[in-house]
Amino acid sequence: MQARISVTVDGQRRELDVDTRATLLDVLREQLGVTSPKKGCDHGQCGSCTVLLDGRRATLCLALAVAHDGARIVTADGLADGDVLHPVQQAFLDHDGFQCGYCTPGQICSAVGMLDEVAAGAPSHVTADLTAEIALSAEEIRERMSGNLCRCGAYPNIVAAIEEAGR
Amino acid sequence: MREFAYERATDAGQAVAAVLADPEAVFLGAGTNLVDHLKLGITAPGRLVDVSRLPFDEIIERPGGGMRIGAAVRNADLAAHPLIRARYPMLSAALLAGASAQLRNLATTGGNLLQRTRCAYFQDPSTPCNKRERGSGCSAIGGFDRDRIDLRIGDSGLPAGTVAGGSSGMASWGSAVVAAANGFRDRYGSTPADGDEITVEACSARCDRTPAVAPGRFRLPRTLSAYRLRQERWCSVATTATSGAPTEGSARRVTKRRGETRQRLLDAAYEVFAEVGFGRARPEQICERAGYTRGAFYSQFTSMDELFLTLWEQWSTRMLDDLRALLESRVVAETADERELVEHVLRAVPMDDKWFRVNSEFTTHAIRHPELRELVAARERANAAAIVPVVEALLARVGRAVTDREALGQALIAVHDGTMAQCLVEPENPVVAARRVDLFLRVILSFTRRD
Repeated sequence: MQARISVTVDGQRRELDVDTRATLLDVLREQLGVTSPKKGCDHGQCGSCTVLLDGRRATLCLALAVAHDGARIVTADGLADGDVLHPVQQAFLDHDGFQCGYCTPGQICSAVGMLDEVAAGAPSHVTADLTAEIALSAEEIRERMSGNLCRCGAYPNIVAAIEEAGR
Repeated sequence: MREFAYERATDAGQAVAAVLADPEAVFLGAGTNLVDHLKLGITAPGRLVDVSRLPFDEIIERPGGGMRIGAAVRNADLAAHPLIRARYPMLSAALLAGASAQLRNLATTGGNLLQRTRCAYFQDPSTPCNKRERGSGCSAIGGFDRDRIDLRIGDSGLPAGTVAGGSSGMASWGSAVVAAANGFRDRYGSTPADGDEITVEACSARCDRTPAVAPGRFRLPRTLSAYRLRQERWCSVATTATSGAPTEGSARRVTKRRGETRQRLLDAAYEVFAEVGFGRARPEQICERAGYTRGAFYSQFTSMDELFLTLWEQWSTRMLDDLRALLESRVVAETADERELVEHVLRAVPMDDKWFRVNSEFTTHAIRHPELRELVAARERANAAAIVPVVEALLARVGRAVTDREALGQALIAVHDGTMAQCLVEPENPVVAARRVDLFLRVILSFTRRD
């Protein structure tokens, strides 16, 4: 069954018919040609399809497109301001925060969303005192980024990049 | 994936009506659980009613104490809420221990509480799972259980019972509670009354990522309709709707290993029943004798009654087959006169002490349970039907014709059962044994005439 939706992807409003069964990830990649979010596990576990969905980091593979009519999506592709990279993107470059690069768009979007969450004071599983202010330690970064897997194992540099971007 | 219709609910009443009107309709929250199950082929609804945009996204302090949490509140927002962090840190900690930040930003409180069991076997359609396919068995028992957690759930007035379910889900204790609630629904076939409460009395988590949750009493907020739980194990609850009767149409897939487990339990039960009696036998004793933990019992049988019935059917079939083989054997066929014939047959028919005890007890049990009586009667008829033709042929050889087949069959069984009891009570008394032969002979002579 088809349904008509409109979504804003990286600042561009798009209107299209989607199968009710299609996820936002498939719609972006297959129908809109936006390939920055990657399909890894397709079950919400690897984080490679992470984008900013209505301002918050989210995986798209478990989000039905039809249910997200009107959504604003920012992919890693849309983070840069023209030729000026987003600070997190620049930090990933500076710290060599990737190897093959497949997980990188998801890692970067996730890091951007994560830093906003920290700024808003949201606790994590390793936050010892749930009511105290958050200190962005390497441990905090690793836990908060645990929804993004990197099969190359570039974690040390990813953590370093996010530490710098978070300063 | 099967095609489905999609509709966005505009208010709660309309959403409920839409789902009630269509048996193939389900609610859609964020879909982090449901969409995964659609992809895995675990569920295939025909209609999705989206409730994620209903205005239930508030966390409100209640005047009388406590918090009211809207069903559409996202997990991340609930975990980060200042009052929840300050007053209900276990709830925050549990939420933060589950899934990933990306999923917690999407997943709703209502969806979290109502998500299906997180057990890996439930999500793997190639393995048996009672929750997915009623009566197929529980693969977690005896399988990998690293990510399962056990909760002790109590219901007012009832002793706490252990409920297994859930895993490192978004709120592991919550999902285990809901696993139990689903068990309730499966068992009683109805959604429990709105406002009923679940009391979690203690919680032990075995998943590495789950924070240590201190035992204590927690009352779930009445966010949705919570569920009153009975002291039931959801795995066994889900196996059959009524005790002893496998759910109609359930294709029972039994793997080789599961078949072995079942047989070992049956063999152990036979020994235990013969030793202490059905009434005093406990599942623990049977499992211990079979070399399993208690869970093995409930993965195979819903109740002791079901086990007893299975056991009796298996043994009475075996005994009938043995008897048939014996009567048809050449040794018996070569006998010349009536008394010699009876002596010969009775020597060959085993005086199985254990079977006598188990069978007598089952007969008594069946008399107490009318639905089982017909089974016993049918077995008696089968026994008679197996015996009479052979006996008739043997008697023809010694020159006697049967006058009433049915009466002869019933009489032979009565004499066998009755005199066997006497012989087992006085095993050393030769007079009792001799009278057994004598009574058989008299009965045979009474129901036959000289040809």
